[in-house]
Amino acid sequence: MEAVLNVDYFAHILVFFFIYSLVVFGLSYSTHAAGILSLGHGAFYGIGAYTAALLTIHFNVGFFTATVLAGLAALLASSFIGFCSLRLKEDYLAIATLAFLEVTRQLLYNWSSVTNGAYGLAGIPPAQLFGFEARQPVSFLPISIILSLFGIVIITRISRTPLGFSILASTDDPIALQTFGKRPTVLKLGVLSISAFLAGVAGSQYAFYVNYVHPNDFGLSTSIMFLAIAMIATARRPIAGCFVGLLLFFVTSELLRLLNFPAEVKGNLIQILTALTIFLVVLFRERHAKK
Amino acid sequence: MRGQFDLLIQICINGLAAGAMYSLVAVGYSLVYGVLRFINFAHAASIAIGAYAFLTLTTYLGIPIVLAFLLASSLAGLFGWTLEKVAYHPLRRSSSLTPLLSGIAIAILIENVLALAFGPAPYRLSRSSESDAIQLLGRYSILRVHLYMLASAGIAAMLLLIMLRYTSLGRRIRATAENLELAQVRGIDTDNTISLVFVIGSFLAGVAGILIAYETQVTPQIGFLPSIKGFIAALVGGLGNVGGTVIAGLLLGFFENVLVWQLPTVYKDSIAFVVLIGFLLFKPGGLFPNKWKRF
Repeated sequence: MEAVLNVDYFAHILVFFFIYSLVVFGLSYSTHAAGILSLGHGAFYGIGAYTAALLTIHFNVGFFTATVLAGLAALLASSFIGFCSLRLKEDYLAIATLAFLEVTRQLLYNWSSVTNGAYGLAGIPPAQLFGFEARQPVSFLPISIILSLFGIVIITRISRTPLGFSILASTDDPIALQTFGKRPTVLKLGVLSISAFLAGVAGSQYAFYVNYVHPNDFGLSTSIMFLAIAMIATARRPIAGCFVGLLLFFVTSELLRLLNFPAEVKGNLIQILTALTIFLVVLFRERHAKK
Repeated sequence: MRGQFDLLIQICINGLAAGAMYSLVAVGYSLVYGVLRFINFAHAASIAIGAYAFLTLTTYLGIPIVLAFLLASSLAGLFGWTLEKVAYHPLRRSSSLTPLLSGIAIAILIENVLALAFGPAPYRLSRSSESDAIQLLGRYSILRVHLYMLASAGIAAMLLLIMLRYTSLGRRIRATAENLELAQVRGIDTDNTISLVFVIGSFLAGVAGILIAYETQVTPQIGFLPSIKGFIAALVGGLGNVGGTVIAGLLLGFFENVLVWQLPTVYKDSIAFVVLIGFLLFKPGGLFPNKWKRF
């Protein structure tokens, strides 16, 4: 009995590890390689989760279709925000995604006839693939691992092609890139869309795995958490650092759970740690770059 | 018919008071952007620090309101100085992404430290006369705190414009905004000037925080929405244009409240977002002509 519990516990953490990994791969690539700061990944993740939840509840759509559509919904939202703000300066994207995040959260809260407002959406059926039902953590784990691999393949494929080098150049030297007839803004917009697509796919997995979605799960703290996990990665190696970040995050958050803090205090402590991580990594990089 | 018109006037008064708060917050964004060309993402923390400092000073230490008001906003100003020294000064020469990251990290840090120190439950400021309504022309009424909001935004804008135009500090700020290297060549201590710009912006955000605390409750997230709307006002006014920013803040508050009169209340915060998207798409330079953009 004890052993079964332990397997479920580790499988549960691993499922979240791989769901988060998908968001973080995309976010790491857009932050480090394309040099754009998105504070809206919590919202893109939430849009994915709500899209998948609504599609399965109302239209009985399968896991695969719902997940693809969830990714596309997040992609559309991000391209809209990106199109409006990236033409000007990268700074504007950060504030536009922040405002978008808040508006999305309020919409999820208040559009009760569709989203069920503050009660959240319950009763999302478990994922069904090839006639088998992924109800347990252990049976959902393969799905999340495969989708995480899919994310790794997409990001590494892009980063190793000429397109990937153009994306790197769009932050390092946009003017040089323009002299080669390439448009930095279009490249950045593309990276943002892919990154949001992955976040939407991850959100859909979240909905199918937890079977319940609530507006509070997709706020600024979620965005910041993803950002902090993605901070350790670098422009040229966007994936490897993410695994370090994910490992650190899950170990810390499980240790905090063992210490038995009240739920709010634990939440605050995690956010303080994530903020410190972002701040220290930024300062460390700066020190390092000067030498 | 008369009743509807009276209601509209009343809504305008409330809207302008809300707008005055956006102006106070927006000026900080505009000044910092004018000098350093980036968005100070930790501005929300200044608002929260002003509100919590005022709460502590009045409720727990029993310091008279006027003194507490000055102390709390000065503390927010001091926070601005520290923020610049700790989070922005070391990153002065790096890419535009890094100050955004360190700013948002500081904002999250302060929000959660406040939540740990004061607990997650909201506080109410002890209501004295600030929530009284004053009668205007017999028919309309204005809350005393709304009157303070309008007055403080007006006084702040006036002093700031005079300071920027006619004092030596103002000339230093304008020179630094115009061309940082040239200002240094002329012997201006630009580091000191930039610190002072942060102090001014955060002081005003602290004032806004205290007044917002009177109207709503004090929570660690108190600065979040006002800071987003303040930025939108700064964008509409043209970043770096202090006078335009103040007018834009008033306009934003005004339109929000007038539109919400006809729309469901839940859309109130979405109006500012629509304004942001509209201006980013069609008028990214702001409402006013470019030649006004110099302080």
